[in-house]
Amino acid sequence: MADYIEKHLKDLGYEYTIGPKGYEIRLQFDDGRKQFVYVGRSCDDIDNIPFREIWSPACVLAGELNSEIALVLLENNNYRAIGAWIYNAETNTVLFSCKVPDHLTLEEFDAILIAVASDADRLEQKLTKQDVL
Amino acid sequence: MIAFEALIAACDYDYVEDDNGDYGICLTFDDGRTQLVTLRQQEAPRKHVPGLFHIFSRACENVANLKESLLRSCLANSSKHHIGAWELRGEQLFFCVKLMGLPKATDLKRLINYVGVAADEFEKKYLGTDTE
Repeated sequence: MADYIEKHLKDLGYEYTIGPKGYEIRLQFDDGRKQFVYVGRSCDDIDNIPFREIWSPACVLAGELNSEIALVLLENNNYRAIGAWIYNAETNTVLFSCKVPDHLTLEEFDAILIAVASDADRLEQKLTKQDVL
Repeated sequence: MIAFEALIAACDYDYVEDDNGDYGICLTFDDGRTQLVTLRQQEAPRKHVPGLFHIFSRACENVANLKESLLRSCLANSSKHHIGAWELRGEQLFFCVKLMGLPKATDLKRLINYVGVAADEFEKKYLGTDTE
C-alpha cells in the first residue's frame, strides 16, 4: 500500500531501505557522524486515532539499564519538546522515540527525523564514545 | 490562546485555568477514582513546526518513596504505550503526551482520557492511593 512517508523520504532525498521494523534511514551529520533512524510502516492507534512512531537507537547496553542512567533519562524527558527516551528491555537498547499523530507535513517529518536522530546520536557519543548505531 | 481554550471547551469537560495559563481537567472514572490532567500550549521549538501541545498527568508526587527499579521500569513501560512517555520533574512523576499543533476536539478527548488512565493506573497499582 502506498504510504505518504515513502513519498516524503523521496522528496527529501533520503536514501532508505524497508525492513521488518519499517523504513530505515541513515542520516549523516555535518561532523561526519552517522545515525540510524527508523519510521514505523504501520500505525498504532488509540480509538481510531493513528499514530506513527519515529525512533533511533542510542546504545545497546552490555547488561541491564542501571538506575542512575534511567533517572537521568527520565529527568531529561521533561526537557524534550517532543519525543522521549524509552528502554527496550528485551534488547537492552536505549532509544529516542517520537510518537505523533499520523498526518505529518514534509517539514514536520523532516524536523522530527533530524531531531530524533540527533538526540540519539548525542547520547550514543556520550555513553559509548562510538558511532555504531 | 482563544483557539486553545475553545478546543478544550469543545471536549465537554469542566476545566480550570491556572496562573501559568495551563488548563486542568479532573477526570472521574467508573470506579469513582479521580485524576487531574493538565493541558499546556507552547511555542514551536523550530521553524516549519507548529506550536507544541502537552497533555500530562501526575502519577506520583514524591518518587523518593518509590524503588529505583520501579522508576527504571517506567522507561521500559513507555515503549509499550501507543503514545506518551513517563518523565520526572524534580521528585514528581508524570505521564505526558507531546503533540505538534492542536489536535481535533474528538482526538483530544481520547488523549486526555488515555493520559489520565495511564497516570491513575500507576498510582493505583504502585501507591494504592487516589490523591492525584
